[in-house]
Amino acid sequence: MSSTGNTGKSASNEKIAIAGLRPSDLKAILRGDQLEGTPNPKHLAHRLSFWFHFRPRNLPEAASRFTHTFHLGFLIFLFFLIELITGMILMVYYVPTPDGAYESILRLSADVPFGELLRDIHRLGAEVIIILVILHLLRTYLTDSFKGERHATWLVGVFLLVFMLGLAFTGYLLPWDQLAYWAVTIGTSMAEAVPLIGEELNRLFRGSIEIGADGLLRFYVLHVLLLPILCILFMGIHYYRVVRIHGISLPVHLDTESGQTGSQGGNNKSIRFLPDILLFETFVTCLVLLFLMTFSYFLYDAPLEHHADPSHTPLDVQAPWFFLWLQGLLKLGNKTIMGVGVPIAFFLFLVFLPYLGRSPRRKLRDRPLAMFSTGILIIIFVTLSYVGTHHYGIQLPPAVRITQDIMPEEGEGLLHTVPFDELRIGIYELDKIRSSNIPRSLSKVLSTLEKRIREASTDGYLSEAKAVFIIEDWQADLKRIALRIIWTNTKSDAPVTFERYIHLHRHR
Amino acid sequence: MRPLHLKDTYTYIATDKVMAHRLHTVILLGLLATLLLIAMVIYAIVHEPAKMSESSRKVAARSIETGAGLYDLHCRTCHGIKGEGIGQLGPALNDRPFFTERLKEVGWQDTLESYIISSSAHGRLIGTRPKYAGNESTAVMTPWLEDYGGPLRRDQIKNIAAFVMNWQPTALGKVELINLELPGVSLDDPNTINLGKRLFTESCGDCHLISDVSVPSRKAPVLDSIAARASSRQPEKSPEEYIRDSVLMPAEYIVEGFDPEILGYSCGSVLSATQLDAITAYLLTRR
Ligand code: HEC
Ligand code: HEC
Ligand code: HEM
Repeated sequence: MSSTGNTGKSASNEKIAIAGLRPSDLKAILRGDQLEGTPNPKHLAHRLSFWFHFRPRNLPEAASRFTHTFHLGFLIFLFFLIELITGMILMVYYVPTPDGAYESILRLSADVPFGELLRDIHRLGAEVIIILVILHLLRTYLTDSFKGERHATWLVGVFLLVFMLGLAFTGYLLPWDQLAYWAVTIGTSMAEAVPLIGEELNRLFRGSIEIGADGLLRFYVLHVLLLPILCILFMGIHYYRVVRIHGISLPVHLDTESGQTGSQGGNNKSIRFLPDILLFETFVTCLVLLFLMTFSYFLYDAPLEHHADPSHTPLDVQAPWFFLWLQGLLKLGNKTIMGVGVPIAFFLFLVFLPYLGRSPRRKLRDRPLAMFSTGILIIIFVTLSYVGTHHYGIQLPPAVRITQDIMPEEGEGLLHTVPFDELRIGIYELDKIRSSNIPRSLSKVLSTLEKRIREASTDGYLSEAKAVFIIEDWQADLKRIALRIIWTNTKSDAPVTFERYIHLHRHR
Repeated sequence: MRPLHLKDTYTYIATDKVMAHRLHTVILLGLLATLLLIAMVIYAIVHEPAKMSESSRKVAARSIETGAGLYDLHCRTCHGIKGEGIGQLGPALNDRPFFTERLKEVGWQDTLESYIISSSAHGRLIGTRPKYAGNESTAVMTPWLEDYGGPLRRDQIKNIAAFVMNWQPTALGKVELINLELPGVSLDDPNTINLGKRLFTESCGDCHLISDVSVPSRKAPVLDSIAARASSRQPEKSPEEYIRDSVLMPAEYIVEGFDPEILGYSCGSVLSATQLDAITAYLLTRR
């Protein structure tokens, strides 16, 4: 098909490349050049299309400075893209049923080439995104780029924050291990506390009273379908507003008197998207891929504990770090007020933030209240997160606590630091140990145990406490380690025993 | 004419001189990052087979660990704490014949692991050997899989099977375990004897008479002086072993006038090893 339109002198004898456009037209569209003469009629339609405005054609140089945006928005977008790609590959192997989920994760790491790496990257990426989104929110707030014409961008951003948290939360359940199951059980228990419709809401999320096959499937559909679609949609709107409506704000010290803060305003020098920004972003992409690849290969292992067991609540259940503040709130008070009221109030507060103060002053120095309240909020969140951990407020009986720190039910304890061969077979009665030929790593465990027991008995908890540590050869490459703590109940004067044993395999 | 320098191309495509300079740096660093990335990918590709086999080893190891805990909870009461089997309650799962002969004996076509999974999933209505035949009114081993009414999920059964399979190296004599001498129950410890007396009244007193403990009964032999006659019943056994085996394998020696076949009952009650030790200790005092 040959076009009859006249696209200017230089391009008139070029071949059509795509969609009735010549290469020079494409270039012009991408760069937003003004065309001379009569443009190709198809040109206009493309020039105004949504897709070509996902990115700005040019930016004021000042707005692209690293220290202004830290490129956080782009980074989030990039990580999201990586999550989409890795997630789609993970979907091929994942089975969203209680019988199949856990096993499919095991299979992924043992039988699928790069399966474990893929899972590590997906999980690491998800945690990084949460950090980035929070930083991005703080950045736009602290540079005062969220008010006025940007209020809607902020609003869309708050939705994106909720969706991102939703993705992280729903994804957390999918491996179907004890960690996932119980963290999510706590998380969804808030739904129950909603007044009037609590029970129905709980049913809606979990599929039944407890999370089971229905709940898992619901979380799965939310995680791989609904929430990603919403994210993509809202990101589109977010980007469109930033690029087409108001531009990225300028750093405060470059504000013009007219109060213009967008890229359209001011007489700031501008740089083009092609090639400057695109190349820079490609560069960042390389760095991010390098980081993700190296970090997840050498330093990060996506956790996987025992298979979910609805009939056994493990000790020390803890939400993922980005929800610890919620768990902290739940511990502090009434479920309805703390677990539902406060979080909703917080997100409403975020929504209305752009309309609260209308002061034209943008310099952080001139916004003491903003600075102060941000500081306070951060402190509150960190404190709440601490309250959410199992270190706060939950008192296990001392003997259980000590045992749990040395050989926990789930995950790793002090005992797991001892290499298999240094778990020397024997009976170690704490008050009778002559530390002659006990391997160092093991004697560290024993001395910690002794110290903890001594502390507990001076604190008046375990009176006349004794502890025995028994390491037995159980099977080929399998040892059984028992820890027995015996003390005297001061009220009845009767001896009390707490015992736990675990099995450790050489190749665990 | 100056030869065209790489930098000049940047000046040509970049917005201006400053950006050209930035581009230059970005492209150089970007190339470096890309090279590192490629190196990393190649490294990963080279090491992937090793990494995968390590992962499978890890998965197998965890499976055995989990299985060990579950076995202890559900199976050891009959098959023994270390799979050695207990009297008529359950066969050994850790000995050589189990790993070398058993499949041929029952004519199982598939692997031993699948035999273990299937046996424990379905349970057993009637034992395949006379010793474990049971009385045909209750299953000798109830089904363990939840689909058949048991308490375990399929993945748990698989874990236990992995654990049982791990007895193979020791059963075939390829691996020697270090034996830890645990201080066993001392049979003349007064505490143990007292405990044994209490347990005897609870579990055995319904049938067996001991003059100062339970009411006269015609259901089972009077055990007043059992310690004295235990040594003569089966000369190859010590008194201690005889008492133990009377509970675990009643059919081994039949007291005249008390044939379990005719009576329709025998000692059989499920005790832990420690409890049986304590009862034995008590009975050994009845001379
Ligand atoms: C109530 C006692 C009892 C318990 C508890 C028990 N079993 Fe059994 N088991 C038996 C008996 C009896 C047999 C039948 C032996 C036969 O058929 O000769 C048997 C047979 C087996 C066999 C086949 C062995 C062979 O030699 O053919 C396997 C495997 C097995 N059990 C596994 C298990 C596992 C795993 C558990 C724990 C989940 C378990 N058993 C718990 C009593 C028990
Ligand atoms: C249901 C009734 C019943 C119960 C309960 C019972 N027994 Fe027996 N016991 C018998 C019968 C019947 C015999 C004789 C059959 C035989 O020799 O096998 C017997 C035989 C014995 C003998 C051998 C006696 C001898 O003279 O050689 C000993 C020892 C014994 N039982 C110990 C125990 C112990 C220990 C318990 C408790 C754990 C117990 N029994 C529970 C019915 C019972
Ligand atoms: C979750 C996915 C998100 C993506 C992909 C995203 C992306 C972007 C991008 C690329 C920009 C351009 C400027 C920059 O890079 O900083 C931007 C600007 C902005 N974002 Fe986001 N954002 C997200 C979430 C949020 C959230 C949670 C908020 C706050 C609640 C928010 C509020 C804003 C605001 C107000 C601007 C305008 C800033 C300015 O003009 O300087 N965004 N976003």
